[in-house]
Amino acid sequence: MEQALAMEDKAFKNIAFGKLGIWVFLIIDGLSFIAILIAASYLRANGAPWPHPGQALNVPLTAFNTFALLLSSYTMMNALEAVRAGDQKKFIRDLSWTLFLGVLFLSIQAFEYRHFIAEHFLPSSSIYAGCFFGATGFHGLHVFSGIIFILYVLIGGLKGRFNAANHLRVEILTLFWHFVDLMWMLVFTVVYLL
Amino acid sequence: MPEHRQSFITKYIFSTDHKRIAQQYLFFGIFFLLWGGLQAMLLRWQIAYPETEVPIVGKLLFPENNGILTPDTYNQVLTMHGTVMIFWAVTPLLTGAFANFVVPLQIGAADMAFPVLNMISFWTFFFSGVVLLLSHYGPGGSAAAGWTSYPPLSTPVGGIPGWGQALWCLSLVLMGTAVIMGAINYITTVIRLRAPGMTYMRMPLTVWGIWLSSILNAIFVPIIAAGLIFLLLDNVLGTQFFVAGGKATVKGGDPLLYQHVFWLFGHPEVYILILPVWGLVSDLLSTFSRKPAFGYRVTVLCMGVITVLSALVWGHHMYVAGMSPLLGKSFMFLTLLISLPTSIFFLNWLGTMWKGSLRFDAPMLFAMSVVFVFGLGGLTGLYMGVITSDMYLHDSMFLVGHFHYTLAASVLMGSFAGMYYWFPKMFGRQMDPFWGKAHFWITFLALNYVFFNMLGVGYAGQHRRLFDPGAYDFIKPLMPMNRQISTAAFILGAAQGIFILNFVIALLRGPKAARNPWESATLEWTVDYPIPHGNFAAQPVVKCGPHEYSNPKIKGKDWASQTEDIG
Repeated sequence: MEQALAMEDKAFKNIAFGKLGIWVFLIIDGLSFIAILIAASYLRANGAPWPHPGQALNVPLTAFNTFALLLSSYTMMNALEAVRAGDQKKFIRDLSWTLFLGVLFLSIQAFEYRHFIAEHFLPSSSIYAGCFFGATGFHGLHVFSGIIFILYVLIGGLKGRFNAANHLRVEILTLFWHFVDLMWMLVFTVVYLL
Repeated sequence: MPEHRQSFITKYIFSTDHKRIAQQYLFFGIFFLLWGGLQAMLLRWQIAYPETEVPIVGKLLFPENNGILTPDTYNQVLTMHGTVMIFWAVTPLLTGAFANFVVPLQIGAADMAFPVLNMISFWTFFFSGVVLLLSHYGPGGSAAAGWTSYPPLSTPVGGIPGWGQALWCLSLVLMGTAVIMGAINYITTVIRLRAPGMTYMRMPLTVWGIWLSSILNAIFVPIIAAGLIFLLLDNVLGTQFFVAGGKATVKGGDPLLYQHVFWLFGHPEVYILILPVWGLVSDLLSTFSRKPAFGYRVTVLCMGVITVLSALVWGHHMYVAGMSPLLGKSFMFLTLLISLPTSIFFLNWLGTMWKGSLRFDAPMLFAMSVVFVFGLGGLTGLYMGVITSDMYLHDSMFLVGHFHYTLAASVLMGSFAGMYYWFPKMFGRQMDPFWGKAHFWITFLALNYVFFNMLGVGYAGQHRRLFDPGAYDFIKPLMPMNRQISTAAFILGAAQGIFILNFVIALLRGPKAARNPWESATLEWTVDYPIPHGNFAAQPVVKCGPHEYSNPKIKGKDWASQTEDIG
């Protein structure tokens, strides 16, 4: 169907539906993140007690976690390059690395949550805690859906569904995964570092 | 698109055909329209005849109170009336039914860009409606903090027991998700799937309206979703983002934050609902006046300008919440600025009809009534936009009259115009023209009687959201007028029976509709009912604008379809 409908507009002529759709979605989703982070900053400026960086949260551990997520963006990029070049083996390998790093990120976050709950640092204990759980939880949901998406693409990849000519799903996944990574940078900065 | 076999389930339930999904949205929207309408009747009964037994339905709905509306139930009905009407009645009709049906057909596409997403969007919407309806039966009944659900009333410290508020938040987040999926679909479809020759400036104004409203949806629904998730956390996990003062156990929460987030979405929401109506009214006025839409490009420009401005004026909903004078004046200035583009395309509407060969079919009558009621809604909007008059009028029935003129009257009349107009293409049959007009006149007169007098009692000082206005001495003289309003409201409600009967009878055994009963120029009228999955047998090529009526170059008839070459 896509090929049958010729378009005369130059601007979006060569962009696939799925890619245009995911871009629109990422803009929308980014606005949700920004709304949450601005709300958190507003509450802080409004006088909610806000601990100094490192006082309440384990910054070194999360910095390591951030590094893992960044690394996963790198392996994701490599996987896309590989599938573009038609290198199936490298594609599967790099995608698996991405999956591993994504799961590692979530596990460390779950470990952190468990630790906080054991220490009675709950969403209801302070506005700061609420913002922390709200923002990181919202982001965690994104990582989780990203992992599901990677699994889906990985299974497709193992069945040999993607090649140099046909890899739109991989491109969409890459866009989404980079976006999740970028949003983590914002969340990490606002919630952990500032 | 190749023919493929469809089972009953994939054809009628989980269909990915945009026309089928449009029909599903239509029935869904009409159901909630009636549900919200019934709630309005209950409210009007209580206001006119406080604490007496509601006739006919009272014993059925409130058997434990002998059919009398209690204050708690009144609050719930008031909350659900607003919520249902805005989010589950007119939203599915406009951005669900019409948008789904019209956008691919009018731009000459085979289907939406993402048919499966479209199907998921409808079923998410459906599920959100189920959650909302079930909240009536949860512990404590449904939400009762008003459709705006301002904290602290809507949080656990507000004193309203039960699950209602949490379920309200949940169902709205689900609904928002469905709307976002729809918005992604419409934006992509319009950008990528226009037929050859269908440039942006040849798109029918309906498509323009829906597209701009989808962009607003895409930008602002995520923001209210974020806010509602936080309100949900306040209700479920015991956080206190929106709680301040003596009841707060942790420091730093702020109810005003919620108001900002709510109206940052809430004001664009007004335009999300009205933009599709403006678009379809512009098209309908042109079709039934047999004249090109006056100032097409200017109308598009004005709709675009309003889309941008609508994002910058949310503060005018919060003058009464207290605000720095500088901020208040800025919001006031931007608010009043909107009246410029609005007036311009209002004049364009009049220009379209001016000296045209008007055909007073039911869709045209409804479209013309939108011009009238939206004019009143817009003019009363000026009172609300100016800080000094808003301070007095904001919490009165005047405000209720104002936003019912813009939302209930304009959007509802526009939806009816659309339903009468596209019914022949949607279902292949014709609705009865006489009863269509009868429905119009009763609705139009009763509706104006209701809302105009609401402006009146509000100006005289009647507070909105009162359970029993007769309990206050200064409102007692207004009670006869309240009873008149209620009587007119009951007539308005009963008149919808005409529509439903007309709709159902036409659906079952109405006369078969011709291919193009309104002699309209846009692309959806070039295909025969039933439109197959994939819409057009051959890719249509667009050669002229959407409003080629009474062009002297056309011989033998007074209109040219968009696929005709008129040289």
